[in-house]
Amino acid sequence: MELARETEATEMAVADTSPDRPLRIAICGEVSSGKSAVIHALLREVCLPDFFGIEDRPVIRISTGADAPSVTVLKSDGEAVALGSADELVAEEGLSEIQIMRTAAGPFGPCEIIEMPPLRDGHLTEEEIARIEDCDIMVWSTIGSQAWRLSEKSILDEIGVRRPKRGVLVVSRGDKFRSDNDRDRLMERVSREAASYFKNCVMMGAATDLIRASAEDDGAWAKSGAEALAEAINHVKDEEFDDEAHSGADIVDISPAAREAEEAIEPFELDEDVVVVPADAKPLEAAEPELEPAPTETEDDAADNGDVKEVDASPMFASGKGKAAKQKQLEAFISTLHGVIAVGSVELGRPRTMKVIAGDRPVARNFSKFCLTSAEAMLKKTASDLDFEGEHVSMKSHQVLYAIEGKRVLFFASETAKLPTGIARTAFNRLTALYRAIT
Amino acid sequence: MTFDLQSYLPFLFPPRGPNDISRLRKIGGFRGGCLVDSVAGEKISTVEMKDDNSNFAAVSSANSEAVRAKTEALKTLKLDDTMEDVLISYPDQYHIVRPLQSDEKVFLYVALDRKSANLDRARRKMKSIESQLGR
Repeated sequence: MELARETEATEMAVADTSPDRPLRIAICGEVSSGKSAVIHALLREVCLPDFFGIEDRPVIRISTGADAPSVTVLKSDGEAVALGSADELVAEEGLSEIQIMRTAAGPFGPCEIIEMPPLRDGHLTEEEIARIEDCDIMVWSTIGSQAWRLSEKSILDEIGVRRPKRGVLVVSRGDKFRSDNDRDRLMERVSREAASYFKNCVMMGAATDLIRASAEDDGAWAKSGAEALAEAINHVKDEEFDDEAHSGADIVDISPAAREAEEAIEPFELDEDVVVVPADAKPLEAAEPELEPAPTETEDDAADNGDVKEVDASPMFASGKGKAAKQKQLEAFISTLHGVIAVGSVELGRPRTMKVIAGDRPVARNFSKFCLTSAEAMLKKTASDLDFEGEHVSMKSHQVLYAIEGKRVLFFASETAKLPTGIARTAFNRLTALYRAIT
Repeated sequence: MTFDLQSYLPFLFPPRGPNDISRLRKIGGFRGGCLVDSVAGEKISTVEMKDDNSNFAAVSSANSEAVRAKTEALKTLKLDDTMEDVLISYPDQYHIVRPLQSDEKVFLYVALDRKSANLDRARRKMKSIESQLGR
């Protein structure tokens, strides 16, 4: 039962990263900036509970144009709960993700709307930035009465060049202003001050009653500002974007030093809320039969036939309290990742010793051979002045990443659907840093 | 004297050929790109490099050949899966190699500046460009 729950939970993290996937819109903003109201107004329905007062808010993922409706809640302990409808959703602590599938296509056709939770400690985590980066459009919601604050610019600067270039700024609670004159003046100021971040700026006044009325009444929908927002999104989504031409005008770039700092790997701390997937939970059935390791084989044998010889992973790391703790960190980090198939390292020269860090051993052995062959071919062919570091091989359903680490190749294989490519790259960078700290 | 716009259109908006990869230039961080026949080892078309000091022509050919070998090696994994693309990392650059769906021995190849490239967007753009090739 527990295993079934874990399996369900890992499936919750499914994110289609293929270039053909539906439009993906990130709804972002500071705490209580009206993000949920934006979603409700666009969908003409109040479908989410009020998370006011809840400290750790879940990611909300709403897919429109789905084949069948469903509502699933992923709890922080890994349990996935299917609900009968969105009406059954309850705002409470301990939720990590809410996934709603709607059959109606909505105002932009089939799409995925992702409401990002408010920031923790005023900063985005690497995973949150990767989620935003995976989106096509960013809708940033700012509260009308305090619109466009320095702290908001700081967050966008933190995301830097990884922010989707297509974006719309929403000024929420526009209905709270006393006059049209006040609204016009505010929009003029915000449009001017946010011009280097967003070219499109829309005011909304999506009070709950108005949203409910908009289900049947186009006039109410227009009055809420949702129609204008839908038009703005439709406008930017069809833009043929020239990344280079807009790089200066539309996005706040950061200095190389800042970019480097942005990419720097923070020491990993195990988040107890993250679903833990057993590292050896995903053997590849099709590959197993011919992958049985030969227990009697010696390292010399392996060197002779070019095959890979598995050795115990534990002596891989030098002894010492600090390094043992790092090793635990490494294993704990891997256990938090979804869809991991195999992680290990293999010697570039002879003997070809392989050390499995996570995953099914025979399968890891096969992946190690693939990475070793690839690495040796690349090292042989690539011009020496380029200093080859590693590769990320993306397939439709799987991905393999490896990096040259001294005389060894560190490799990582996972299912693409459960670990999006952007997050996999980030995770592999962390993993590499931890590996370096240990070896 | 009359101005015949029609006669100027081909000069103003030259038609795209079946191997036109000029849209690669629009990818953020673009440094160079080409369409490579990995078997023959020759370029079908090339988009010029901005500041070619990295021996791009030789590297792209060699890497394409290595990626072709990789597609064969993948079969040994018995994953029942097909390669979408390969991202190759260098200290200052990323190279993305994408086999054409219509001919898996031909690769769309692009080199990007590591500091300014957005990899997810670059992959999507390459997918889009690849789908237009051969038309």
